[in-house]
Formats: sequence, structure tokens, C-alpha cells
Amino acid sequence: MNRAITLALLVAAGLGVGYVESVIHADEAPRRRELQHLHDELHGRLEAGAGRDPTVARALADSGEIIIAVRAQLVEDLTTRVAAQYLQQVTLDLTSLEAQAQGTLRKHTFIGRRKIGEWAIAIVIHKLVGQIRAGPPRLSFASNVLDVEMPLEVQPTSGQIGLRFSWDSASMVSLVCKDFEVDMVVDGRVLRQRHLLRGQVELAADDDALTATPVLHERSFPLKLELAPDSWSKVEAALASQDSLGRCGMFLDPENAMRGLRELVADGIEVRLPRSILRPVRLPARLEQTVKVNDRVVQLSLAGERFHSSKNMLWSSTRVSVASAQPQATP
Amino acid sequence: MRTIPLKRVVRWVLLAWVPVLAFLAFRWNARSMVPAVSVEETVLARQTVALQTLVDAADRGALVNFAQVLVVVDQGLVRDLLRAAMPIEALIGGFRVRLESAEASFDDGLALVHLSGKATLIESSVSADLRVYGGLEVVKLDPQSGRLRCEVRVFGVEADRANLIGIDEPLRDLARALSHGGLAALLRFVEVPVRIDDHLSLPAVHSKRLRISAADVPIRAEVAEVKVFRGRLWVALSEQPEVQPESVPSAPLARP
Repeated sequence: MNRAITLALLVAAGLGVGYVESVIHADEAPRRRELQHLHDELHGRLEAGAGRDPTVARALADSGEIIIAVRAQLVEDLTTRVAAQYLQQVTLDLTSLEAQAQGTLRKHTFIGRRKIGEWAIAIVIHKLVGQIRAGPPRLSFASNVLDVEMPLEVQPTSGQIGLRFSWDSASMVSLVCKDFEVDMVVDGRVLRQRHLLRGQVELAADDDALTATPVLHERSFPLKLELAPDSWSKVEAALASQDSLGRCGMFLDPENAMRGLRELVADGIEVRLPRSILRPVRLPARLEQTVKVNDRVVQLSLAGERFHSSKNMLWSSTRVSVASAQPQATP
Repeated sequence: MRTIPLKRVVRWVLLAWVPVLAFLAFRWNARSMVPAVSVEETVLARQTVALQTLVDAADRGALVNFAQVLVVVDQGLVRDLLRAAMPIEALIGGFRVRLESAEASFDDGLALVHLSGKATLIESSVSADLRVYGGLEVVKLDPQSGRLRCEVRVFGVEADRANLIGIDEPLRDLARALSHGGLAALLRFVEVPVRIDDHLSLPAVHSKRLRISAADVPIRAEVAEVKVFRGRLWVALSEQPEVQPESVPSAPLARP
């Protein structure tokens, strides 16, 4: 009996020492208090630091579950890279492009100043295919838009240009002057020239993406042409051949028509860029309506997307909630 | 001098070992039930280290130092994503583990995830409540989907005493297995619904006047920095343009 009690007491003593030792050893209080103190101090400093940071303050005031902020510089860099790659080799087909000029000729006659007739010049490009290259764009951010100025350099090229001169005599004059038309095909060329396209890139957030839609203030630009030197001689010769009494040469000064042609060529032919180049482009950062947690697909609901761009940042904020999830396959 | 019989000496020695063995048995048992350092303290220690980094960054004026893209994710969304995927079940270390609830708390440098559930011995009704404390880590942009992908790193596992004697040892094995990569069998990854495309596609234009070839402008984005505070995950992404070979000017179509 005594032995049993002794044994029990010894076991109890061992367990008791073990307990006391474990309590002493497990007493994390001093270490933990010190850690907690340091933690609290750092937490306070972080709170103060967070309040000083404008981006953090803005995000904390935002109720969106997901915020995507993009620096304006990245959009500018991407735009420049897109222009450099996408608009490096643009083929411009000027075939069938037309330009016209016309005028009325009035002269003093024995019955006073009268309309003698009307002249017209038409330029029709028969075949002329050139290239355009975009230079580095200049961008500036405004509210939700990006103002863009993009230089376009038209590369020089040669082709065939059709010219048509016509003279339509006034009814009274037509008794003595006959109408005429001169058609000819001459060599011409597009000069190397630079144009500045001005427009905006409208930035917006649709269902799940940030989009950039280019809008040009003016889709047309005048394309300067030039006739080959020998072509001018041919034109002058052709007009001079009409400068006879029956063709009203006494009234129609060929230089007059030549001047009209030179002005027409100098002004250039209006080239209108198609709307198809102004398509919206999705920026590479966007939201997804489904995600995976393991192999389970979770459907999300995106709502209340807010978008704003300032001088140096694009800011998109979205309320995101879980709509449904696929059940998991039983292991 | 009085001699002590050897038999008695042996008995005293044996008796002296009794409290020692009792002490060791207690400590062994206590160690199995209470980790040497509690999960809370582990988390506190990790948070303190992370906080120091955040405070240093804040002092430099670079708390969220993003040069290009910043994605901010609310802890509530991650919690809801995890909950939507519940229950998650897997067989680990002889147990059927079923996680049924999730909490997320993104504060003071750590994206804490607290998963709760039950571990049941296979082919038995013996079970224990299980709590897994982990940290969410934004690993990378998934190369296939382009989505931000997070993994859960286990900080600690707690299992309540089983409803039958004899489950403690297997539970310790389970806790160890979960802490050392076993959680991957349960929760491999969580995606954040933000996608960064690896290219910018521009369609070809074929109009009467203009022809432009389609272009794919490569985007090489990567996770640059992740910070956690004030209930949010702050992920900075950077994009490095591909180094293009110097372009060779194309020959003009015709001599001007």
C-alpha cells in the first residue's frame, strides 16, 4: 500500500513539475508583450504613412473591391509602341482619287462684260500607291481623354495621273467658239510630306475592360502632288493646241488654265482616312468575370464600374461580387 | 559504515525515474497539444517584420511604389471567393479533410487566410476540428490565363482534441503534412479576377484607300511588388518592352 502511494506521489510530483515547467516555459507573455508593443508602434506609423500617400488615401476612400490604376506614362509608352509597330507601314492607295477646279471666264466685249464660258480641270489618279509612316505621337492627358498629335510622313512615290481640261462656251459665244475637252495621262508623283493628325483617345471602362477609342478631329488631309517636269510641257502643249480662233483661243488664255492646274496640284488632293482605323482598343489590364479557386470556376458579377483619368493616372474601380460557383467533384 | 543493499539502490533508482518519466510524458503530451510557439505569436512576429518593411517604405514616400500598374484587391472579395469554393475536400495523410469556411484579413503586412473544417480518419468516424492559418501570396501572373494567381502558405495548423483517444498522433501527422505542402492538395491556388494580356491586338485594315497589317504588340508584365495593409492587397505590376532589333528603313516604292 505504502509502495503504491509512494509511486503515485512520485508520478504526481513528476506531472506537477512538468506542469509547472510547461506553464513557465509556455508563458509567452513577456516576449509576446514586447512583440505586441513593437507591432502596435509600427502599426501606428503605418497608419500615419498611409494617410500621407495620396494614392493610398484615394484607394481607401474607394468602395470598389478591385481598383486598377495605370500610370499615364505606361499608356503613352504603349501608344508610342503601337504607333511604331502598327503604323510603321501603312499602304495608301490613291487610285481613282479625284480633284477638280473650275472657273468662269468673263471678258469685255463690244456689248459689255460678258461670260465667255466655263473651264474645268480634273485630276484623276490612275495608279499611285504610296506608304505612310507614323512618327512618335505627342500625348497629353485630360479628363478621361488623351489628346494626341501624331505626325504622319507620306513617303514619296510615282504614278500615273490623268488630267482633263474642258471648256464650255457660253451660249452666245458658242456660235463662234466650240467646246473642247483635253484628256491626257502624265507622270506625277507624291512628294515626301508630313502631316499632323490631331485627335483624342477617349478612355472608358466598359463591362470588364479599359478601352481606348481614337477620335480624329479631321480625318482628311491634303496630299501634295507634283507633275513630272516633262508632264508640264505636255500639258502646256496640249492647251496651246486649243488656243485657236475656233476654240476661243482669242478669249481663253492657256496660262489661265495652267495657273488653275498649278494651284490645284499645289493645294493637293484631299485624302480621307477611313473610319475603320478608329476602332476601340482594349487596354491590356482588365477584369475577368470568372476565376478559378483550385479547379472550381467561380462566376463573378461586376457592377458600378467607375473610371476617371487625370493628368498622370487612369483609375478604374469596380464592385465585384460572387455570383455562383461550380460544385467541387468529390475526391 | 553501514552498507546499503544493492536491491534497495536499484529500487531507489527506479523510483527516481518514475517522476522523470511522468515529467517527460507530460511534456510530450503538452507539446503535441500546444505548439512551442502559438499560431498567434507566429502571425504577430511575421506581421511585425512585414510592418517594419511597410513603415520603411512609407518613410521613403514609397508605400505603394508603382511605376506602371497597381491592382488593389479588397479582402472581402478574396474571402467571398474562398467561401464560394467551399466545401473543399481532399484526402491527406490518412484523413478526409473538409474545409468549410474561410476568413480573410489583409492587415499589417500579411494577407491572412483562416480556413476551418474537419479532419476525419478514413474508414472511421473519428474526427477533429481543424483550423488552418495561412498567408496569401501573390505568386505571379498565370502565363496561360494572364490572371493574378495567389497561393496559400501555411503558418500554422490547429486541431482540437479528437473525439476519441488515439487520434492525436495521426492529427499531428496531418498538421505536419498540411504545413509542408499538403495544403496544396486542398487549396492549390486562388485567382484574382484581374487579367493582364500578354499582347495588344490590333486588327488589319483593308479599306479602299488604306491597308494596314494586323499587329500584335507584345506586353511583358510581371508582378513587381505586393504589399498588404488596411484590408487590401496592393499588387504593383511592371511592364518591360521587348527589345526590338533596330528597324531597317524600307526601300522607297519609287524614286521621288
